Amino acid sequence: MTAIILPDAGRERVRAELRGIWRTHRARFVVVIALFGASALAGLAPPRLVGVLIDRLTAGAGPAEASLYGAAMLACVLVQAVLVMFAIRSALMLGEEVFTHLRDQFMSDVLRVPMGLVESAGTGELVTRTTQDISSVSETVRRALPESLIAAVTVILTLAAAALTSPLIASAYLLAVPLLIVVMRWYMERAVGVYERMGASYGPLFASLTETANGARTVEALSLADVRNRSIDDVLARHWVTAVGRIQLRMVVLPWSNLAFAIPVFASLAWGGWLSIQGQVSIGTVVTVTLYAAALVAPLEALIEWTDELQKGLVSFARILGVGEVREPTGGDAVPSSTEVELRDVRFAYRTGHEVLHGVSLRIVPGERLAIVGASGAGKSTLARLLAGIDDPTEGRAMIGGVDVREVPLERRRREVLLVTQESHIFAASVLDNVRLAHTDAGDDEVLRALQATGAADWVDRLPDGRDTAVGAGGHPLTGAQEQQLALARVVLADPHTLILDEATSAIDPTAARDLEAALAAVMEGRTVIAIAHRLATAYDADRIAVIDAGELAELGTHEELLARGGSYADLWRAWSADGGSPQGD
Amino acid sequence: MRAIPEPFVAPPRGVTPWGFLRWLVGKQWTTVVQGTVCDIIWLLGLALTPWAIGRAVDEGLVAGDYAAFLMWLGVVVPLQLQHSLIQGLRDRAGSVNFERSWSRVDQLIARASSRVTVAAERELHPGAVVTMASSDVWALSFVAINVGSLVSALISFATVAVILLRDSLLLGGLVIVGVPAFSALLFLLVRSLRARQIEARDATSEMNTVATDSARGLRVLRGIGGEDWFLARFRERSAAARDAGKRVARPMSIAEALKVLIAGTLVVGLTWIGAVLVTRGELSVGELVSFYGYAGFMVLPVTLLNQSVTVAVRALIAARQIAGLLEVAPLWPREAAAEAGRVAAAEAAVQTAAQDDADEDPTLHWDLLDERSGLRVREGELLGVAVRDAGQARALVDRIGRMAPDDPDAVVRLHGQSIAELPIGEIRERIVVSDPVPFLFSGTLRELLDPRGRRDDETILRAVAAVDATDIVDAVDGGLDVIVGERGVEFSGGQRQRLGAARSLLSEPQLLVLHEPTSSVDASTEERMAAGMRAYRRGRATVMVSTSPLVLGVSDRVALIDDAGEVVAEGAHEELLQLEADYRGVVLRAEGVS
Repeated sequence: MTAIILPDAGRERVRAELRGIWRTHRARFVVVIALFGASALAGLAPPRLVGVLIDRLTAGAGPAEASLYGAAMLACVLVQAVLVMFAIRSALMLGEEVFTHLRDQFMSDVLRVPMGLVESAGTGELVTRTTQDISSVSETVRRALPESLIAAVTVILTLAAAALTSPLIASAYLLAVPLLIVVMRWYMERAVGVYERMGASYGPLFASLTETANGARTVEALSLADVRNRSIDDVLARHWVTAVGRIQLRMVVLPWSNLAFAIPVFASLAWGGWLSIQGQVSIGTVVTVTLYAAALVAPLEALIEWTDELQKGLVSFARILGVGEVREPTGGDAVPSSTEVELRDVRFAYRTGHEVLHGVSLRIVPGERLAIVGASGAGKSTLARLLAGIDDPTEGRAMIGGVDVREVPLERRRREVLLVTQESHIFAASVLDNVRLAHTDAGDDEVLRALQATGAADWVDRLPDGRDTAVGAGGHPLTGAQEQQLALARVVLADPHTLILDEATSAIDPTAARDLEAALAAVMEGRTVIAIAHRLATAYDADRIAVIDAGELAELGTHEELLARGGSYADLWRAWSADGGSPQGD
Repeated sequence: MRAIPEPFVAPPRGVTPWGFLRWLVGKQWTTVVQGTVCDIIWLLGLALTPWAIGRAVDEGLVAGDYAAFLMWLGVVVPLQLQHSLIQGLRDRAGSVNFERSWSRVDQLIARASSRVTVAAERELHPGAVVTMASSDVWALSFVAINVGSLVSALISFATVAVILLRDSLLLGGLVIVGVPAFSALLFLLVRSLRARQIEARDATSEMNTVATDSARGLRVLRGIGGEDWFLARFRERSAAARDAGKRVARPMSIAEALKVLIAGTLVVGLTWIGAVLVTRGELSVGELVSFYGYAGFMVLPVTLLNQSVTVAVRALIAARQIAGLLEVAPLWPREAAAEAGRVAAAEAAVQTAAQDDADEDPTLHWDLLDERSGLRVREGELLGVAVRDAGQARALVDRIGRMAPDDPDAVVRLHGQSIAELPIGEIRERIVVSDPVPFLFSGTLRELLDPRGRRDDETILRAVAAVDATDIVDAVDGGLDVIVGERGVEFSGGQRQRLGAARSLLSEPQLLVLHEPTSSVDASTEERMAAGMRAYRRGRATVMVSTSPLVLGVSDRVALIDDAGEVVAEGAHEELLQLEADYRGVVLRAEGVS
């Protein structure tokens, strides 16, 4: 009963994907970087012009010359603004393209997650990746990447400009390098862990809130308000511990890194000032180099800030890519030769060493109704999953028409054998589309016939927009029974020759089950039905009954045969009918 | 460091959105003040640096006096140190302010959510509560940080303005008028962007709806098909979101360019004018350098001011949501009616005590009457209730357990007194209803079964045995200590139902109402559950609403409720089977697929 979780992609894979993105859009990336570079260059001109202007002014330049410099600086600002506009626009456009491709690929991965994994891991983790991780990657692609790119380009160009203006003064910048290296190394070693811990602390928080909101009725019925309040306080306290980690990290890194940024400003001023008084450089040059040093502070700070975001984005990126690593194997291209379903000596273990089925052989006669009975946990549902090809037997074979179930392509398999579970998710779409998804090529009339078969046509017609009424989240509300009818209409439309019913009616709100009998009967019409039975009446009505006991097929035969044998089924039956549940009266 | 979350204090009733923001900031004024002081120190360090550098240029470099130059550099050093070293404290104060608000609002939402979602029974979707917790909380948590940004921006602006005015009335005046004017201009430009941004956000949220919907319904999609259709649907929305995003790119890039242009023009303009003043001898070169520095600096408070306005606007929208949440009245008044109810209950108790003395019949000690159906539950009995109509069954359960809004036309009486007049807390202690599909909370199995932690392991295991769930506990590593995921995903439907039934047994109420407690389990388990629950509840009133012969068979007495919702027959299970054709119909039709 260990929770199975979706994997995260490894570092290698993440790097390969990033390289792939770069290669695909290389030309546009280069243009964006060039535009940002050009705008940074335009921004570097004014400090240089101010320096020269100061030298001219100390040399006694007149107002006309001063205005010339003013106009030149203004022109630089204009050019910079225009370049910034183009740079940002192309970066945003490119970001949209890249991110759109990523999310489309991700969705296609999500829709290929193997059924077995969905069944055992639940959909919660997938929903988290679909919402939080995608939005985190979006933030990275749209903001963190371009902003850190701008910052990096600006830093490099500013350093180059300072070195060109006066290598002698600019060499003073180097004084900051040792401190910067120590601080950054210290920070990088710790940051990833701190931010990962903090990122992980949000999940339990939303989980607790979601549980409280969704379980509101239970909270009320059992007076659990205090318990739930304590739960949120607990997760908040745990989140706070991670937040303190972040605060402590930044308490150290921020003063030291800022000190490191201040060193070039101060050093170039002091050193340049001395050189200027010695007559080796002009005052203007000192001012320019000092201004460049000051101009380095903002992009360097941005680089540190965005490093966090980039780290978070990378973590999410790995989680998103991870979904693609569990793609369902496309299977073979086997074609079943008949509609006969069979299990041959299958064994199955969810965990090694904990075998659930110990060699079950079962041949289902086409057209028959087979009931599988047995105590909870005997392995009935596992059997159903093997028959439907959701899980692979550890040993033995599950077959349709003489070929392995898993070798039959998925699309084809669904037209052969379909597992009907209690799950009846209604999508935010029209009634028609909700049913049509079982057979997307089906015309409206086919869908309508399926709705009629399950008795849904009447109430569908009475909906505000009839069959085009939007249902599901945010749409017209449906009752549990109505949702179930739509789910069954999907089965009718999918039209498999063999149906496996697992808790199809019994695990939903039983109060709705009654309305569904007719619908279910219509669905079963003309098909082979394998029913996982909780109610003995189901077994009584079946052509044959298979009794599963502790992972083994204990008994197999008709109702009468099994009664005559006097085994465990006969015991169960006697216990049940003695309580008045005899079906004779019906 | 302080402990977060802090003890919860509810905001005042009927609070306005603005009032809520004030309350939120007021609750943590100490750290808000700390943050503001740090912000001021931080910004002033930056603001005064150009001034010291200007002096260093004039008195040092221009005059050729390295001693004077070094002296002024000596002023720059502490200013820079101050700016650098305060960063840590400033960030700490900001984070603490953020986290304090954040946990306070989360606590508030968590506390309101269960009440609100039950009360509305769809007035507010549970999903909306979670959205509130993820987006509105963010918007609100920046408010406390913003106070410092706003105050420090204003103070540093004023300081620089004064220095500038002292140096040059013209330049000072220009900065004082120009900076706010540019700032306002920028703000208006950014605001005009909003329409397109909203369009883009809507397109994105439509796309996200499809994505979330397909992730949630993935079992269906993977089971029966439709993946390609969904992918096409998603791609369509995704392309629309991309196009909307691209449409925003143009105005956004123009806005960014204007920011550069406005800030640049400010700096260059001041320098230009300053340079002309220098040529006229009205300004020194050092002062010009200072001006250049000031003009560059002024961009910062302007940005902070703009940011403050944006944060305030967003926070106000979020605060409106929260205020709306606080306005939803609970279904059952908790405090107001409690006093009146307690008095009435005390009176009723006295009356019952008096009756006890007079009457010998022990079944009269305690009874509950549902007037709508005519159903009467007596103390100590195990009552089976067979209801043909599903809706009627649910309504009956909700009435007895007071889980639906109080209805004056459908009174339920405990000792003859309407339960609507009793304090809701008392009702919840005395009467517990258990749903057929139980909602299980995550945590250890022990917490799941006994959420309030009131029972010892022996009792818990006894209840587990009563619902024939011992095998579930035995099968997991760690027994009661095993961690169970959200909604008990690890367990099958039948296992969840049994665990839910055990949980309701362990709440040990005076009256336990079990609604279809065995609908998801096989017949032999059902038989053991029925017997086990009967034994566990011996001597305490228990109602089992069910159509299963195995459950009804163990009851002391069975009542049959017809489609009109009224009791039409009462008696022992066998008796009713013999005599009532309707009863036979209800009980036998329930037997699943036929």
